[in-house]
Amino acid sequence: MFEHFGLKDVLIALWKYIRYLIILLVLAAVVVLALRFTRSDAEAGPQDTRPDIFSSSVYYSVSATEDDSRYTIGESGNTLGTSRYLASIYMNMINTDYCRDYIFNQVMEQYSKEEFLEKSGLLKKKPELTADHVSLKSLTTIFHTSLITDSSVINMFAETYDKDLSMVIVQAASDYLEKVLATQLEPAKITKMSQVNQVLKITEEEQKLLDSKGAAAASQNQTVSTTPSLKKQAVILGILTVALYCIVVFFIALFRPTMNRKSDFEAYGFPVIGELGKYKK
Amino acid sequence: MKTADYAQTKDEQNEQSYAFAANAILETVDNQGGNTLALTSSNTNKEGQWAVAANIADKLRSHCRVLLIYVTPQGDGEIAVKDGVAKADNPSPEKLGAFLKEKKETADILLLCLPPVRLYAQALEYAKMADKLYLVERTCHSTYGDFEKTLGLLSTYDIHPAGTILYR
Repeated sequence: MFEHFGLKDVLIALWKYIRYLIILLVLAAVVVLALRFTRSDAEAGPQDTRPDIFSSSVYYSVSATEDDSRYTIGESGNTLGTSRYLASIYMNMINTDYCRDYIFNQVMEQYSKEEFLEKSGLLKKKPELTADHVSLKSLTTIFHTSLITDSSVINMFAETYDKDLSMVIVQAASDYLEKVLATQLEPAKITKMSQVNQVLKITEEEQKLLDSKGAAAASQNQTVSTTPSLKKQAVILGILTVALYCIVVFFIALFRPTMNRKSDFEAYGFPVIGELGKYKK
Repeated sequence: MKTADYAQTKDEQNEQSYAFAANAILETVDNQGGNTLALTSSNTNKEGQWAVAANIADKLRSHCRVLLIYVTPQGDGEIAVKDGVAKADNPSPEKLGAFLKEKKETADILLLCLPPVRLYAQALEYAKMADKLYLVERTCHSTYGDFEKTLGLLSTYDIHPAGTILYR
């Protein structure tokens, strides 16, 4: 088996089948490109990992009923001033633990604490948080209220990484306002004006903060998944293709040796009367 | 580009290599007699073998009258001659023998281009009709196994190749 197997024979075999190597490399390139274009967004490179924030926002108008004089403020005692005062009362009552507890219970009916941590974005900001850390206080970073300037319009909004969670929080707040507070403050009339759901991109500063949190987590042996770049994948596949080609040709040269030199033919006792160049057709 | 008076281009080198082979064959014919020469191969490259035979026949024609006969293993058994080249499609050995006997009067050298003897039993019958047999082999493509099998089959008919012609 090895009597006709030398370095020159292997090199000749590698050159003889070079066109198959080219075909294999082209196929490997096609495979890499196909994988690149078909992989999911979840496996995409760092430029695609910026999460979207889903914001759900609701606006309520608070107006005083005509026959109430208990909440008249200022000398004018006008209705707008009374409405604004009532709206601020509502705002203060929404920003209480009692309201947050109401909202928190509504959310916990639909989500587990682990799901809440992940979908709210709290886990990204503080990877060390666990389910035990989840409480009504967790809502303070994702649920906000504001009073529109120079008006009696209350805005309540929630910003999380999950559209449904944002809407559940805002709906729970709306329920609290309409079904709990409204019954307690009868002189006020509460009207829902609009609800807005939108997708927000986080800012560069926020992304850097998230990235630094991720790097800190990685240094604490928490896994952060990465996908090799396209260039790296192509190089690795190219090297594997060449290695496979060399191994296959090696075995072909070993088990099916060819006669490569004049001396290989002369060894059988017949003279070589001509060594012709590439034949002309 | 030539850098010296006797430097040759690739094409010129190729031409001369065929001339060397043709001269060697002529030398053998002149010294040892026999004008029916057969070319066969252990390799399956028909196109290459036929090209080598055609080029050698061209070189030989500058010295003598040559009839090149391509013998194929498939066909209806007919032998046709055109422009100094004959094509025999799977003729019976008797028919080919009669054709060769007839053409010996008009040609100085009859050059038979036979299919591989290891693949076609009929080719061995044709090879027996030749005075000398040459093996046309392609370097880096002809395998040891095929070559040795060809030699083994030829030796059973007591046919000893007169030489080997190598091409790339």
